Amino acid sequence: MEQNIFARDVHTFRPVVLALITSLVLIVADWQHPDWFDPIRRVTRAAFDPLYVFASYPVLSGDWLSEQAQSEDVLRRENSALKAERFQNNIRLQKLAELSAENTRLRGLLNTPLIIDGRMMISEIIGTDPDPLRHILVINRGEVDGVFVGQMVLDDKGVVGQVLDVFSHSARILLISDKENAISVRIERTGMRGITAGTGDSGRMSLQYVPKTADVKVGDRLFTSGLGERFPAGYPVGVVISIQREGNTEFADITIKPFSQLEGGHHVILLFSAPLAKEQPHTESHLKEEVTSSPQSGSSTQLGMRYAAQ
Amino acid sequence: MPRNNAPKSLNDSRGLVKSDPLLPIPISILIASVLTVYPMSSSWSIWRPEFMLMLTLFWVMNQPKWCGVWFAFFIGFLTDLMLDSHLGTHVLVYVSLTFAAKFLTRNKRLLTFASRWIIAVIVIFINFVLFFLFNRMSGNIVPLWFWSPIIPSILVWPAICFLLKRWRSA
Repeated sequence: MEQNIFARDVHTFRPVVLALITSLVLIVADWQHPDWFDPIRRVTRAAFDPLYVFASYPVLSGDWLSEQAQSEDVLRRENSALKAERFQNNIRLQKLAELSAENTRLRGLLNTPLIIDGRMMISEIIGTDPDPLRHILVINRGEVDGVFVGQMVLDDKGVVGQVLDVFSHSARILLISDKENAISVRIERTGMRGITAGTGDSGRMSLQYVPKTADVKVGDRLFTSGLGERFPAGYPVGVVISIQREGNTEFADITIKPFSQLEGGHHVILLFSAPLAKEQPHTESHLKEEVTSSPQSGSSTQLGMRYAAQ
Repeated sequence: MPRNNAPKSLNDSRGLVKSDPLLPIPISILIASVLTVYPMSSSWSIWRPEFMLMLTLFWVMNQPKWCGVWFAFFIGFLTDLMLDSHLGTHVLVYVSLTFAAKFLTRNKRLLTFASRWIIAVIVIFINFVLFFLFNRMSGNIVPLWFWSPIIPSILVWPAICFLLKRWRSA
């Protein structure tokens, strides 16, 4: 009997080769046509949704335990700190009300629709992706709460990422530091547009395709530009921490530190906001109108104006 | 299960009727997949052992009649879907490692617990080296903690052997 088993093992050479070839075919297929496997991926993800719901019960997370274990003294101190912070925030809000009124007046002058800040929803981070190399978080809000794919996710400091998959009671967020994520941004000081891409390191992102001669300084702050038609404009992304102008490429090597707490946060905010294109002070119709009214001036100046205003 | 009360002395005897692994295989896969995807904070998550690999190894080495290359293929495919990794990478690695485990045990009649553990350790190391290469090839930065599941994976082997000892072949 033993003999038979080992005799079988000699023949298993052929299935091994067959299985290896099949796996290589799978790799190539998923590389060329990732959409082919979307249905089956969705099924597996949905199958694990109950698990995420189960894991989201506060008793099961370490947070709850540490909160319970805090002494009264610590809570008292935290309470007074929070009161002071609330006081400061209230004062800032007064100023903000004034500013947003002014903004409304200015937008009125520009003849553009006003976009008010959308509804927000706080959600708790209940886990990370099983693969620690991917920068993906799992949150406890899903389809029933109105979460949708591509939705912007913030924390109190800045942009965290976007919703990648939605299940009935949970969702997965792709962080801005993930290697596969990119955001279109604008430098606050100069208004220059650029694209930041994640590097796979949560403390570091890169600003791509910026010429070596461009006016960028360490300490420049970056905001979403809204040009990617994904994120609303004007939310803080990060700050430039280093610029390398040496090297063979024609682009500078610029490193950005994200504002948001990508590693430590416990809560994130989901933003329900109108698409950003509407928030730009020049819509398509606007542009067309001007082009038709003065065809001689050429579209290049129109475009120039358009970008200058951005 | 009908054969629950098999005497303990069967543990060291070959060729005698053992418990059928038809039911435990899917149940163990289910439990291992839950452990693989259970959401944890990232500071814990980096120590998560490779449950699926260890389970594949266990069944392949202990029930070679039931679990072979295609079993590894299936588990690899499932792991790819669960971890959202590039489809086929875990399949390729698990199939190669199954072959490696079979190759290392090809002319051993009697495998002791220790020798299986050593083979498991070798296979875990190959697994991490292969995934290191995959990550480098796709341009990922591989941090030092990428290697941290090795120790928990090695330590989880005796636990799996203990929990599934009724279906051990030797």
